[in-house]
Amino acid sequence: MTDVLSDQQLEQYYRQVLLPEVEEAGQHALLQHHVLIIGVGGLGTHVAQQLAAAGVGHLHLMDNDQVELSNLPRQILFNPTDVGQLKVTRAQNTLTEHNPNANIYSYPVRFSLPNIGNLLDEKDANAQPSLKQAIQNGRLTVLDCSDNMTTRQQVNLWCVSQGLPLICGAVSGFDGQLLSVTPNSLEKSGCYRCIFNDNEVAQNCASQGVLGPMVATIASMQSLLAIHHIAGLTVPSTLQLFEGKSMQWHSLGRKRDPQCPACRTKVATHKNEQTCQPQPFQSEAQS
Amino acid sequence: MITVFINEQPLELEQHASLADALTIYQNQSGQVLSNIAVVKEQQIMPKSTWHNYTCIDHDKFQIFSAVAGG
Repeated sequence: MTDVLSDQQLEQYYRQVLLPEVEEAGQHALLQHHVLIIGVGGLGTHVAQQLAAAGVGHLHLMDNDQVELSNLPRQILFNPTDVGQLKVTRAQNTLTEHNPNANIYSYPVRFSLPNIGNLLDEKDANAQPSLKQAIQNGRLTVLDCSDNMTTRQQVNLWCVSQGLPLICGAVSGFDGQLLSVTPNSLEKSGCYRCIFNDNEVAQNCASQGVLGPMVATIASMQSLLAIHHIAGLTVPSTLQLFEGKSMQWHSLGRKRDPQCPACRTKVATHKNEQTCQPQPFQSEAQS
Repeated sequence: MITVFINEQPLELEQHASLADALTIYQNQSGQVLSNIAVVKEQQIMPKSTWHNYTCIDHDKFQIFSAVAGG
């Protein structure tokens, strides 16, 4: 497949193509790539808007929630008339209106291992061939924008087992956290569960409150990391912490936890096979 | 006895106390519930499986922080 952009694409994305780290090849990669956004709330609406505008060609939105009035200060794809409607449907409509060339897919389901399995099962009525094909072609990046620890652990487990790049963003109060988990860095830097290994309730926006600019800051960094990954730039393996009160970033080194139930099997398999082919996921109970 | 620092708070420990011991004492003294935390030493996150095996040294400095899960 050629990396040449059309005249319209070249004009639209000119200032991105101008970057030597992106150029036409990087923009072409963005246009061909698929991003699965899990959670279409504060983080998810921002990253969806930014990535669609940047030219990511295929965005898959997953969330089973409906728009609430209290979402509007930070969930920028919604307006008051959307209250009570499915977030993914409203987000899909807004994104399509602003980015008519982007392919936006919506899944009004909560992320779980069975639900994602159904979407990838050719025999299932809700199967999504484009999503499965993107995984097979190595063109899927996952962004965890969810709002609870149970989902975060399951997303991590699924991505590790499938060999998918995962970019996690989280925010609560004035605290933001950001990290990427990639197949190439798994053996050295580990996964999300190597850092946070409890399923217990952690701080979230509902319990601690949150400001729109905090969400936008972390979401922008998630989007930037996604573009780094897709365009082939270096993706840092550190955990980034942002303190919104002091306006300070902290970059922390990570090591894989050799006892991590989520990634130790994958790493052992990878070492044995010296390959990273996608494998069927394991359920939490099996890990 | 040795003194270590967790989030800049001094903590008196027996010689050869582990990091896990230190966290337990810190939790008891501070009244904080330490769930879903990460421990950082010299800008490096210490994997949880190493907490029991790490023997604290006098004047060790640790930072702990909790997971946030909001989106």
